[in-house]
Amino acid sequence: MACICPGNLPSDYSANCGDELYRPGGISHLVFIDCSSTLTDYTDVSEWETLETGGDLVVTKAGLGSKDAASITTTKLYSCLPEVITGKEHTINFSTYVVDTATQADFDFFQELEENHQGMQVVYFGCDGLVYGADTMSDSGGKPGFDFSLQQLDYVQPEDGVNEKAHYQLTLTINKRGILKGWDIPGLIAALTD
Amino acid sequence: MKRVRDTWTGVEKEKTEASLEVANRTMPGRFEIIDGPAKKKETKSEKPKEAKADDKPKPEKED
Repeated sequence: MACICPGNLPSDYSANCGDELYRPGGISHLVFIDCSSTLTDYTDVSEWETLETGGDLVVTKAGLGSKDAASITTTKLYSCLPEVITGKEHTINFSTYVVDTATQADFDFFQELEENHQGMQVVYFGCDGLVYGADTMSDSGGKPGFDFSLQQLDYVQPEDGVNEKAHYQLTLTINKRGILKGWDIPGLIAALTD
Repeated sequence: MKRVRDTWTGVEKEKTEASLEVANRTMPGRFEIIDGPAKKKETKSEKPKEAKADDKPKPEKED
């Protein structure tokens, strides 16, 4: 066996000029959605707002977020060929310093997130203005978010109470082959973070 | 805003031009612009306003 034909080559894309050649990094917010929720038209902001008002979608306060390169699992399937990719794990790190100093409701928010995360899907907002969600986002009746595992979630209180602030820190992983794609949804980030 | 018909679900609704532009790029052919109701609204709003009594020029004050 000489080779397995890979199928189509990737489609080329055009690039703009100057600063528009690049996207800024960073993740500003995480969005947790009930795992059974779907959208018929992901570009319709009112559908997202309906999920939010119905208690099926919640957005974290703004924070510091990042996603490094995913780790890939390869497996040897053919003696005469190189290993092939059989798994890919994406890791999202997020922390927020924004808390509710009036009623301390932030403790309950993150406590409930930890307890109930298995019934949720996640979407995240990039500093590039894109909404990162599942490939099924554009399907009518598709799930907008990724299934995820929570690896770490806690309230961190640094030793130095003069110069440092307490904050929440969480890490989640998404098992998905391919790229986590960003979607342009005009008006959505402003509507859900106001 | 544009009034459109979602050919996937059969639903008619209003979409912003920005949202429609994205939808046409990622889901080609899904939304059809409906001329009828949206056009009627435009025609109605283009009618010149009838001058109200308040809009009439006020006589200049006497010194």
